[in-house]
Amino acid sequence: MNVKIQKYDPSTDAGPYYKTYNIPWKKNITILEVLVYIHENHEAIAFDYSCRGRVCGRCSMMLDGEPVMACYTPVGKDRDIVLEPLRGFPVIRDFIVDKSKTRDRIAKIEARVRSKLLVQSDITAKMDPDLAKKIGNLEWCCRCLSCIAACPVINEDKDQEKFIGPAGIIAIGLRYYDPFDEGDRVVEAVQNGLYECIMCGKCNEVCPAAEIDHLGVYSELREEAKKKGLEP
Amino acid sequence: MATKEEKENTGVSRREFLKNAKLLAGSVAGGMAIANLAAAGTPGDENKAKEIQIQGSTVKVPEPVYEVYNTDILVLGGGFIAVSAALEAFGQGANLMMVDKGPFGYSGGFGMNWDNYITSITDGEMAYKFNFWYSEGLCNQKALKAVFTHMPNHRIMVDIANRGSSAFARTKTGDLFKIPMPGQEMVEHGFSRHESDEVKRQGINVVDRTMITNLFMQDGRCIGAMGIHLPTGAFRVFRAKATILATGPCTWHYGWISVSPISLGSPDNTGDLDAVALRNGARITGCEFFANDLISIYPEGLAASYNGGIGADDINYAYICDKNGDFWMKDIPKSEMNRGLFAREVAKKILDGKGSPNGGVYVDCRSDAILDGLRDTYKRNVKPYKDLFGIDVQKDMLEVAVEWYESNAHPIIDENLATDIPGLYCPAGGGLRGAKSGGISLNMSAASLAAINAVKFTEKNKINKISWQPVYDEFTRLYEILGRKVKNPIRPHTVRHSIQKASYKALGPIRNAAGLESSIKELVRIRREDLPRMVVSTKTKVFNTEWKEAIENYNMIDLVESMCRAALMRTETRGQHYRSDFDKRDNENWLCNITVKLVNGKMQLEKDPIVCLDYTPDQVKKLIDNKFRA
Repeated sequence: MNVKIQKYDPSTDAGPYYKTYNIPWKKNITILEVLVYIHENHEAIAFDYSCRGRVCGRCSMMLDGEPVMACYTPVGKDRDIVLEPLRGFPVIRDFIVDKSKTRDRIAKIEARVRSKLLVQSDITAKMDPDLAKKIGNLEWCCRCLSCIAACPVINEDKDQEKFIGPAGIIAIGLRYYDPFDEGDRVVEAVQNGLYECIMCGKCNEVCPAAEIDHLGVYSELREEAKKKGLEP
Repeated sequence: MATKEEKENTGVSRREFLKNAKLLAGSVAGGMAIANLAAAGTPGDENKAKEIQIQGSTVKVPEPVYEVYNTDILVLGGGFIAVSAALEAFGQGANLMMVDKGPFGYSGGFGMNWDNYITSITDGEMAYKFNFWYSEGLCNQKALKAVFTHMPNHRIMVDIANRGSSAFARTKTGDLFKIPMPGQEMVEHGFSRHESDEVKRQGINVVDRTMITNLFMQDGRCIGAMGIHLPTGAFRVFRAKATILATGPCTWHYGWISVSPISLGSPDNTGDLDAVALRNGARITGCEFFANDLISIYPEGLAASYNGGIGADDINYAYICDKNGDFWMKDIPKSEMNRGLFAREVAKKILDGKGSPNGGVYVDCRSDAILDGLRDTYKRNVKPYKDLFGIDVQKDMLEVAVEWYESNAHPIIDENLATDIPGLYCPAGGGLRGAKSGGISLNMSAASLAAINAVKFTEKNKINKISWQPVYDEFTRLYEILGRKVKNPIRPHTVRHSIQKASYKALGPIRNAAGLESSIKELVRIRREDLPRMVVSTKTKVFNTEWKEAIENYNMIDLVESMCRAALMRTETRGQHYRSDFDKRDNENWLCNITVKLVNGKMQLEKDPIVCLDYTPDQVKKLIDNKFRA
């Protein structure tokens, strides 16, 4: 198979460029295996990975223009592919990008708002198991930020100020469901662009966590926003 | 030149190298240190490069330029232990800084955002007794007791909930689903992202994507650490009054299948700081012990991934079977199961010829009852296995192998969790676990105790004079690796795969003298023939993953050799250390730890008596031969 990859070392290259390598295909070969093969048999390329199980969020990148987790994406036989770093993030070198700005913003949003610290009895008290499951499903967001790379609103407008993006709304959703959280997460969701979203479902398609029902979360938040008169 | 005997032992090539390098680096050192102190870092100036002769080749090493950071407490690492230590020290009002090799929050096993078992202490005294029994008598009783009794009961779960986890698993009636253990309690669905988020929210200073390559030593004391900022290649020096070594285990050495070893671990897990501590004079111990799960090994690209695979462990084992479909482990009561027994059961099955073609056994998830009962982490992979990779575990048994997710090789500590090196603390300290693996309660309480002790120590650690020579030596060592040119070069990944192969042949679930001796011989050969020829093919300083890999290889080989030598020396079976040629526990000869130390560049192994507090060695022998009794 032919693999065209985008390379860029800012300390030597004027700008990103493409290079094509021919590598042997094998059954169930993953994108990560393709990269390791090129690195070990053709020439050094810089890429990052860790868990090989779509939970660490480090190996997200573009395959033929769509975000994927390199570790968990097999390539079909006789398919020529193009690999590029994750769209929308500053490239450090080759496939290594800096996701820290968006991740830090999400981390801040996901902080629980609460007047008093939890004590043991708060945690051991009964909780509706379906609610625990609902929160638990959103916990699987690994912040690979594939959803942001796929989001047409963010990518067409080149503007993350109006819309924090799918991963950010999911973080707000997690706290919206969290019975220990005392913040007004509906206001926060609207403030962070809940209505900028066009409900296209692209984020749900590319998300490596099947547990997360993006459109379901957005819809619930919108319903609550409507009740509060926050609908634009 | 080193003598033949020296060459066959650890560290010689580097010691020899440093001696040579010193002569040359020394000429740029004098008088420059003060000026460089204030200099913000760009990598070395190529125009002022010095040529040095090392290992028969000429290498251009740029003039050392470095950044200096100053703090009171330096936490090395970015996982559960590092985060717990940092939050504890910060809570005590300490001025501190964390340094993480990976992107903080996303590095190592901790960076995998999966459904963790959160173990809380419910009765410290009982947890101590249980962990002591589980360590098969080897743990340092004083240290273990100090760790388990300094924290209020249940604090760990409450802390984790306050840092953001809310979705602990519930029973159908909404009660917390608890898995009881003596003196401890486990709940499911802790997610580690909240822990790193908390560090960010508190405003703790984290310097990430920075690989620590050496400690900053002064007259035998640790006054910080140094290493490379990977995105730029800048050399960074961190000064501290106390340093907490809280990096991950060394597991990335155990074999290789296309993108990973047979390990749940991360490429970050190369044991850097354990090897660095060893080279700086600390004794390390526990090298022969590791912790394992059983995990699927195909498709190859997902091999041994806990989060991408389907497996079993000492809590979930009823569906493990041999090649004949015999679920031989299901009748072992949970109260008697531990990781040592678990690993030995698998090893015996393989030796009986009832294992799988690739040296493992199977899990059988064909019944709906088993599938329903699978841990979420495994269950979520069943559908993509079928849809993406054509592997249907509802139709076929799935082959699983013994992997390494934890290594016990760490610097030996005392009851204050202080290592042999003044100023250096190690919460995962060698001797705390014995033949047992870690666990979140042990790790988090140890981290908290180490942090408290490190904060106290900052008041004592004053130096009157500083020599910057170690900084120049380390800079030169690293830039020699980057600039090295030799005939017949080998790229770092090739050297690494040789180390991984040697490890896999010797350090698996079934060990014997012949296998261990042969791998030690191979490691000595790699050290003598391959390491000096290891050349980084791209010379960029910007995120040079090959340079990083080359530096890590020096650490990994020291650790793997320590592991093989300790495993060879321990002529008995204990914990996951199963010797097919000595298949019984031998309390008469081996109720002791093995310490590894470098003496004049030579690896020396010694028996170290167990540290007693509540139980004498004779009492220990009786206690560990019985089932655990509260």
